[in-house]
Amino acid sequence: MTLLHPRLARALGWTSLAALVVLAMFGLWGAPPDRVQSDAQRLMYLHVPSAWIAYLAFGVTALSSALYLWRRTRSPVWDRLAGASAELGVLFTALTLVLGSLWGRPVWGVWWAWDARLVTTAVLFFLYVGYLALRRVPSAVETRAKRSAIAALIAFVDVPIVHFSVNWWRTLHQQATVFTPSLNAHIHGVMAFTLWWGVLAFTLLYVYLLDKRYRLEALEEDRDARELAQAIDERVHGAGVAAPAERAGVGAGR
Amino acid sequence: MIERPVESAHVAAPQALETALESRSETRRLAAAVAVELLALEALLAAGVVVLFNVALAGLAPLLLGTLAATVGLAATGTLYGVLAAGLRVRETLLPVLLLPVVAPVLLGATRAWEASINGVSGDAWPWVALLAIFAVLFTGIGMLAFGPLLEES
Amino acid sequence: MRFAGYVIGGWALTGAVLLAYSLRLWQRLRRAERLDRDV
Repeated sequence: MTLLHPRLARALGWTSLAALVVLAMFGLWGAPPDRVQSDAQRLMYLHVPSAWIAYLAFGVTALSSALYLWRRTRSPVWDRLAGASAELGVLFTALTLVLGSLWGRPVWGVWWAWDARLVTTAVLFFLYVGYLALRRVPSAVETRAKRSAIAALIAFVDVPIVHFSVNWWRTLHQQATVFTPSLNAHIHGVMAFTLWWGVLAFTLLYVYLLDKRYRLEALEEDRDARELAQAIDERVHGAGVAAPAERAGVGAGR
Repeated sequence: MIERPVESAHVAAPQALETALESRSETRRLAAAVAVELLALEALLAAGVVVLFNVALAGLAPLLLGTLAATVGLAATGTLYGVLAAGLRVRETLLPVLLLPVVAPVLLGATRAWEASINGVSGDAWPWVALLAIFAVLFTGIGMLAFGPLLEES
Repeated sequence: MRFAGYVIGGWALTGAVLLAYSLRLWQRLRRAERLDRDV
């Protein structure tokens, strides 16, 4: 009921922590201030990796959802993975938006702007918040899984839109620095290293958290199934004498 | 809630979904009906706008095509999410929460297309019409693919 | 450091959010495993 071997998971946890500490050292001190943005650049070492990991997380959700919907590969594993990854995606999208706002205030002078990149990212956030809400609706597992899977695939349509928004529209947000249309990165040296290190650190953290969140999803689903079986059993055979102390949180309070 | 939500939902949901829509063709008819209703409403509103606001029409073609594409996109997503949320007790609250982020780009695009077609330069409207057309095709396509799994017996 | 408030604030916030989420996740997981064992 885990994605990773427990020992690997622990090692990964410590490694990602170490990687994040190193990122902080480079991001806050090792990397030089930008020529134009000055030290505000240092927020980019968190904002950009956060955004990319959000894409990754939603990509995992979309792929898992597709694999669940396709009958030949249908399995509860994909549904649980989709749900787990989506929660992380929402977390990192929120982080992206807030860090972007903190960066925008000193550099653009505004906390927010209604440009295509920002709007589509905010839409992305709400799409997956809706997805998470959909998953919380009490349902039979298969029904919920199918329903969520479709919502996830629709929501994922926004991801390429977010990415290409800076090319398709005139935006306040700058053009892509790394994944430019000609794939010619505009960032070099220590700054480039720090950025990629940030992506590495965030990826390690994402995988670690995904494994844990997946396990939680699996345990909770099993518990729901058990409680359902018990409830049906009671209905069929009648409530037992001297029922044990209140079964706490029947399906609710997740 | 004192009752057991997991258990009662397990019983209620599949039944509700079955009774709500029996087949794909019915769903398609529903989507078409929604589209027609929307188009009728839009025609009325357009007439109202023209009469009340004395607009100078820069481009009729982008306006009509954009409106058509936006309508198809709205009808497709509205029907899809309607089926998705069918039979759920929380449908009234959940449906708007789910639908609004999906529909927001369509509404934004349609607004821009109308802006350009009415008082602006009609050439500016075409990129937005293209975007609306892409959404229309995409959501209709996803809808057609999704209705199978959604409506099949669990 | 220029814009130190925003920069430090942003890094601190990120650290706090990731830590809080991780702690909450571990807490939820411990509870789920306990309930699983009690069966």
